[in-house]
Amino acid sequence: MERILLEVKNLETSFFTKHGELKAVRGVSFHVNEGEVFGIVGESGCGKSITIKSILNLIQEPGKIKKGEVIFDGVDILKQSQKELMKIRGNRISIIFQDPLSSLNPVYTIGSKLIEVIRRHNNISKSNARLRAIELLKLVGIPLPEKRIDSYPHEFSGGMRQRVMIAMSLSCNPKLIIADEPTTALDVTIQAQILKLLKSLQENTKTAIILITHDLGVVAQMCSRVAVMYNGIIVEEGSSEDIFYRPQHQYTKALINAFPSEDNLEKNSKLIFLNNEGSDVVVSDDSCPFINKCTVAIEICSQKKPEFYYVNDNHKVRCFENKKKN
Amino acid sequence: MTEKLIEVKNLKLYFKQKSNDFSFHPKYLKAVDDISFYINKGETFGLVGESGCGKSTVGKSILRQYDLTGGNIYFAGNEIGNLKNSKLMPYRKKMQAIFQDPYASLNPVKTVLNLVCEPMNIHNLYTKNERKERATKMIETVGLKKSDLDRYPYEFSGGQKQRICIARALSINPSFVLCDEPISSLDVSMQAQIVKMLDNLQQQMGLTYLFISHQLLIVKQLAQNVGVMYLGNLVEVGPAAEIYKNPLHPYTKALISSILLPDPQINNLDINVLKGDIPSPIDAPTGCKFRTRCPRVMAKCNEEPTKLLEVSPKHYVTCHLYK
Repeated sequence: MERILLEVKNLETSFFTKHGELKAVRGVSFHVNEGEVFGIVGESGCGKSITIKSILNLIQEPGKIKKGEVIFDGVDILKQSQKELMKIRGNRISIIFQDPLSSLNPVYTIGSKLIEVIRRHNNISKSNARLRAIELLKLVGIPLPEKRIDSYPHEFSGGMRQRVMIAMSLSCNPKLIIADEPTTALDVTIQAQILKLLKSLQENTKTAIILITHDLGVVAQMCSRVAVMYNGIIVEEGSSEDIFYRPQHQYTKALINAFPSEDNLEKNSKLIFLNNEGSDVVVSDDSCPFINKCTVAIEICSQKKPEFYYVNDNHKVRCFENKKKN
Repeated sequence: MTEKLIEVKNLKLYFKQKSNDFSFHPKYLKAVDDISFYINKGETFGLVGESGCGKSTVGKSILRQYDLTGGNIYFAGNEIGNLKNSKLMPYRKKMQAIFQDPYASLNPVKTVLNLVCEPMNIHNLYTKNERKERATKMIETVGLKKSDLDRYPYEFSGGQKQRICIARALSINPSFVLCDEPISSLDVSMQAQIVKMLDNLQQQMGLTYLFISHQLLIVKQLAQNVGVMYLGNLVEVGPAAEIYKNPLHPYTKALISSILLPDPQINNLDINVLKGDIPSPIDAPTGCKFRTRCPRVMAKCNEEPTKLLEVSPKHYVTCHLYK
């Protein structure tokens, strides 16, 4: 029986603008077990990045976490003081972002940044921290780490920078790493290297990872459990096999179908545009978020927001039609 | 009867680098280093490769956004590589482009109507009313509404903006369309739709595409023939199905094996992953440029391999492993 490391309950985050309240996260609940890789899949605007920032209590004006709990190792992060949060961020929970170039300060050597992170959370001398930093660079496959530690971010390629970010995220032996589209900006042969590295490091250190991505191929290779997000809520959640082999929600099915297949395109096939677009976005709490695009919607779908229906112990879906069918 | 619409022969594009010293030997960034291929009318040629391989430069050269350092470009048999300005205009009318970033491609102070009509204005085609009619027809073809013509780019999503770019490119009925990573910045579900749209339009309008992308599976869906580039060289060219089923060049093999499929039971990550990084195009390795990362490297690879040897019908490779 796996131990729950992180539990997110009914998270709601909104942005209050002059045009009104934009509900970015509308009641998200999920948990991450110790040592597992949990995937969050969704397209732009679904709220996955805001969910992550909310988990680390990093939401600033005009955003506000309206409601919810984020229980990490028994403690609610949303109720912690700034001082307490500093001990968690970078230390027990770390993040890898999509674009390593904007995450690394260009006027500092990567060594100085690594050492800073190590010393912030550990009582350790500068020289020992430097040794640890070199060890970490070696672990992530940077050649000649004792020399490259004094290089600047611009002297590295994209793949190398991302390796540096991984080194930084591992530096304090976190229990959880949040990786927000960590390979989207990388070339495909470099992506393969980085994912292989992340997977082997994760297996060795037993760190849990929340992997956010829009790439179903990455999800299938890396994640044991997956949540699919659409318009601010999770519409389906299950094991990797559940999601790929037995998808229940229309959106999940559509995403899987949208993945370029081995076969050629059907000639003159009909176009279906999935995401709510541009200024046509109207999201109501009194209907299913997928109502505008759903092909199997029934009457109740426009009247109420669906609750989760459990297909089996680990596989759940928010869909009235699905529940009715079963 | 298939005729070649676009033909590229021994194309070279070298960019001289500014030097900090007083050396008499300037360094050149060989963005495109002796590339040859052709595209039949009505077909799609996929050009794939990773960052810095020169694929976008090839596309822009065909559109004559650059002056060539060497080689020839033919459009329907006519040499256009050495033409300039007004002599190029009749060809420009037949060649259009869709680029990667729809945010950067649409002038934010112009309405959609202005934007879609722009190519018609530039080439002085049709009357004002006819232009509006054509713009309406194109905007509806790409799945937007007539009322969208009066709106501004900021009011649309990325996918919608890209569709406006497609409407604009096709408004003057070109023969050739350069598609340079037209879907990489879009959401996954939108990518699938845009690809279908491009395919449908190609059938309806008899278009010829050069489809440049790093997304190998997308290219496989659209292209009849595929070329693989690495650091300015074409390392392999052939029919799409052949290239994917039977890749010859070690780089092509690595590219194809790095495709991650949405199937948890297929474990791609254990496949041999290429070591190291892509070298800088300025200081590219001598001899075969791929030798620093090649799992099959031999002593001979210090010499440049023969360019594009035909190993099986219409399947060419540039590699010492093949004679």
